Amino acid sequence: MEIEKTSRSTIEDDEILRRAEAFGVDLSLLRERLTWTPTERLERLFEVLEFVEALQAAGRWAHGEP
Amino acid sequence: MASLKQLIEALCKGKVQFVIIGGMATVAQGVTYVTVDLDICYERSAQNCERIADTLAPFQPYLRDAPPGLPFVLDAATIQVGLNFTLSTTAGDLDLIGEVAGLGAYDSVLANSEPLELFGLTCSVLTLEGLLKAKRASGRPRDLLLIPELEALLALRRKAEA
Repeated sequence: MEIEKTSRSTIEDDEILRRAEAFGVDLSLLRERLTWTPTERLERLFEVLEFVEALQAAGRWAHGEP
Repeated sequence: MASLKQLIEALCKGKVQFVIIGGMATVAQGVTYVTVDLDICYERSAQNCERIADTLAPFQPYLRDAPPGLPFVLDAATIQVGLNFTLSTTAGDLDLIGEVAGLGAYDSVLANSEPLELFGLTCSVLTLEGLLKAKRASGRPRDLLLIPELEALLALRRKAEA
C-alpha cells in the first residue's frame, strides 16, 4: 500500500515538473538552488541586485543623467 | 542593496515578531526570482509595534512614493491605526503587512512559516506551501506566474526526501 502511494506521488511530482518545464521553468536552476543554504540564496540575490544597480548607473552616466 | 540584510538583522536583533513573506521569502526558499524589497508580516500587539518603530527609526522610514516633507512619523501609534505600510528606508524598500491574502493575520502566517537561518540569525520565513496559498489568493498576474516554479520546487523537495 505504502509503495503504491509513494509511486503515485512520484508520478504526480513528475507530472508537476513536466508541466513546469513546459511553462518555461529551468529545473536545473532550481536543483542548483536546493544545494545552497537560504543565506547563500539571499547573498546571490544581493550580488545580482548590486550588478543591476551598477548597470543602471552606467546607463544614466552614458545618457548624461545625474 | 546588501543593506536589506542589515534590515533583516536589525528586525531579528530588535526582537520584532515578524515573518518574511513575498519575494524575499521565495528567494530564501529557492525560487529563481529577483526582488528589490523586503516584505514582512508583523504581529500587531502594542509591544511589537513599539519594537518595530524603535528598530526602524535609525533607517528613517518614510512612505514610499509620497512627496517629501509630509508630517509622517512611523511610531507605534501610527502602526497600530494602520495595517499595511509601503515604506522606503535608508536600507531599501520595506513593506509592513498586517494581513496576507489567503493566509490572514500574523498568527496564521506564522503557522505557515518555518524557522530558517539567515546571516547567522534564525528568522521565520513563509513556507513554499504558504507562499503558494498567498500567491494563488492574490490573483495578481506577477504572482500567478510564480506558481509553476513554486510547485516544481515542492515536487523536487518531495522527490529528494522520498
